[in-house]
Amino acid sequence: MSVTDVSKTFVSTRALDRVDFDVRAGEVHALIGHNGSGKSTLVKVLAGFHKPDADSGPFTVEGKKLPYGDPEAVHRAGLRFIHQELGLLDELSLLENLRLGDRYLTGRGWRVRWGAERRRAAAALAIVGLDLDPDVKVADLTPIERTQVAVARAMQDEDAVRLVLLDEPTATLPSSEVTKLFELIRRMTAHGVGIVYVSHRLEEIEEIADRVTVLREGRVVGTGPRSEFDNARLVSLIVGSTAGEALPAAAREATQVHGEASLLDFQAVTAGELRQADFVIRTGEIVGVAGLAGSGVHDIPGVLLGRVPVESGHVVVAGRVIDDPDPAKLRPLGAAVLPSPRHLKGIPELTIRENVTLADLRPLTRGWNLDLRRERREAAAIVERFDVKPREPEKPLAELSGGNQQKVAVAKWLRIEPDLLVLDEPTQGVDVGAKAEILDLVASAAAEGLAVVLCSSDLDDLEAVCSRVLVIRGGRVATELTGEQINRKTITEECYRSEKARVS
Amino acid sequence: MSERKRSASFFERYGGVVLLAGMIVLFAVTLPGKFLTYDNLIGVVSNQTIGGIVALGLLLPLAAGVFDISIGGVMTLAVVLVTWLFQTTGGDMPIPLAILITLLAGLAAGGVNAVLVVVAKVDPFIATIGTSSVFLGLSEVIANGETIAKNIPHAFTSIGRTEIFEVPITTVYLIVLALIVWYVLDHTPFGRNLYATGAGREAARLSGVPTSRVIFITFLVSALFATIAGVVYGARLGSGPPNTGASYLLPAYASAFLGSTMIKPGRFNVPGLIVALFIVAVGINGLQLYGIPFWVVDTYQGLVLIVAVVLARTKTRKAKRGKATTPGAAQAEGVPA
Ligand SMILES: Nc1ncnc2c1ncn2[C@@H]1O[C@H](COP(=O)(O)OP(=O)(O)OP(=O)(O)O)[C@@H](O)[C@H]1O
Ligand SMILES: [Mg+2]
Repeated sequence: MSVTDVSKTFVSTRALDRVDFDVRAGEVHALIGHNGSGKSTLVKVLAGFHKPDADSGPFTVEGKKLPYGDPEAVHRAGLRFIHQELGLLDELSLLENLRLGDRYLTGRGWRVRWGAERRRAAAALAIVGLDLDPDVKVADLTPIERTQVAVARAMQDEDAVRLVLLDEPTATLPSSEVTKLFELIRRMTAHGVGIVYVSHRLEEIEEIADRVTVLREGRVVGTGPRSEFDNARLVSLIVGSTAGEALPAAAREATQVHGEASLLDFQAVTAGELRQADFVIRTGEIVGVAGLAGSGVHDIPGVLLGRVPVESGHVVVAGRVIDDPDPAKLRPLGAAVLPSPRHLKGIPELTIRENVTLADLRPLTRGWNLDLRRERREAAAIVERFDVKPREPEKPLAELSGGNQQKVAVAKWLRIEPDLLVLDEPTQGVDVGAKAEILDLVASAAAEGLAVVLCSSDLDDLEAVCSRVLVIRGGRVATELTGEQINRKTITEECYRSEKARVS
Repeated sequence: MSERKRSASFFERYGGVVLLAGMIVLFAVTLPGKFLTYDNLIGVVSNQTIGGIVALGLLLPLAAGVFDISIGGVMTLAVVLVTWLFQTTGGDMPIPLAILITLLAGLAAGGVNAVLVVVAKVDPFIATIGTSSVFLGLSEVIANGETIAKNIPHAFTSIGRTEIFEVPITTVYLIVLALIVWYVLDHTPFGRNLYATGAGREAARLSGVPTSRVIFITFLVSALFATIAGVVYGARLGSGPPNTGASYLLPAYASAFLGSTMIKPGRFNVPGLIVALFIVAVGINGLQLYGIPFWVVDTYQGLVLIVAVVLARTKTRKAKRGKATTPGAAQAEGVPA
């Protein structure tokens, strides 16, 4: 597949600027670049979702020319997409999502052969190692399962697939699942399928990519075989300078001192995958939480958000027992929770300004009146401080790239200066530079007494800022790591130890 | 206001205003001495007051992402109840008391809707279709199938008929209520929470927005406004015919939806609603002045309703499509048949 000279201009942004891009059969071509560099836009142009500017060059697949802006033709040519937003419909079942826009198997009298459809769906889910009832609604899935379903959907008619484009498929996956995805990718490339792989995680690129293309501000700034790029060079190409990978190692010292006041206390909580989980979080510490898929890591924020019902045990926030927590109850206690599902982090139709102030409008309110002028000023300052691009607080959130939406979400919670902040995947889909910035901001807030619970499948995050790491296995806190034990290798070993951890 | 300037073009925002201005110019030129007179223009405005009040109240549930179909039923109930209170007491009931009772009854009706939707978690559309029918039934019981016209005190009818500096008082009501709703939607935290709830209920809840409370209140407000409209209607007419409200339901939705495509496209907003109301009203007025048969007016109104909703739909669809990040859309179009 190849495209030449593609440009795409949104009303005020040139998202792609004369990009050439090609993929060969059987290779993995990594597409990387900072947040807002145009990766998703390129993928969407290829999907026929965006029409590129009129002066763009030809788009060919296996020598045949394809029209732009025609998703059906693209599908027929054997291209499959896993978009950053996954594109699953919450209210439909797994089976219906898998067949979305496609034909159902029918018997006599147009009757849908549900039995056969179910078997087919189960087979598709088995490709990604999911053993779920095809009648389950997508709304009930964990973020990890959602990603897997999206992958299953793209792969289901394996024979017709020529090229698969994955836009940050691993942002929501823990490392165990990434390994599985890579096995799947290798199996496909062995059959001559081409892969386009978008990710911010350089170690993944190192492991899986044959070739690399780096975008910066919509332009190709480097392309070639993976072996020609070492990590330092990639980082400097992405960031546009020789800044290098700067994770805030200094932050950890700052978080060593912490108070005694317990801000969050799980007392034998059974909920979702959690089985009698016990732990305490105190003022000023950053506690990482790690675990495999299905270990229950994400049920901790889930419980606090009221998305996972507590079956037994007690949740104590700031000394108060909260039986069925939800965000409106937590806020007066100074606790805030950032959810991990992408679509729940912000409200796409509202502007950046409206999103960033939504969590607490009181400081902007006099009597009944919402002081819009002050809100604008504050939003402008936040956009500046969190380096949200573009710096236009009046843009709808939907027009930002995935990583920038993430920054807005983190900014929203840091703005209200909580005492306890639970972050579920805060650096998901954020580029190397922005990741360091986000962690830095979190760490400096912790230095001033903020307690942070960091649920991240990115072990580098945990290594960079945590003073303690809880490893969840089988629904309970199995190990607690401190000091020198907090490193990628030990955390991974602890996650995998005792294979009793259920793979669900 | 400079909000959302970049995301919507000038034409998207002000196309409706241009259309309205065009109609006014057209009628002014082709109907000299008839259209552009004070009496005619003030007539156009005052004809819109009742429907405008109903539509203003409707903006709140719509902005919060829920439908309230019962406003016609609530309005009917208000018209019948307020006039009946005078009739049964032989015109002796103090006017403020009669109005207060009616407003409370209207709030109670809204409360029933709110409880059904928020507490019992019934789909708002279904719930309010059901209650609407119940409210109409209640009105019939009260009115006993007839128009209530006895013992309506003069002081009550003056509430709907007085003029202030030659401006009908009902027009003043509309202006005041419009200003209040505009202020609440655009300048209060409640308004912001309302739009957030409408644009993404679960995401808003997770940001700490009390979405259930917001939705509860919107049902109270839409019922209250329908009740106010009913009281004003009864006062203006001086009697209480059964089933008047039903004819206000569809126009209210049409102007709310048409209004949501203008000024602040993609949001249910007060200035847009006002422009939409007058696009309909001026058109009808012009046709009447041309002396066109009465049935054309009905047909015109029906056509405007349909065009309004189609326009609102395609515009929001286009807005969604532009925002490529709408998840469902992205994939639905990526996986063809
Ligand atoms: N629908 C849209 N309307 C207007 N601008 C858009 C739209 N979609 C993307 N953009 C802009 O285009 C640029 C490229 O965005 P894109 O989503 O392609 O970035 P990305 O490389 O995928 O970033 P990330 O790593 O954060 O996902 C950004 O500046 C973004 O704000
Ligand atoms: Mg992207």
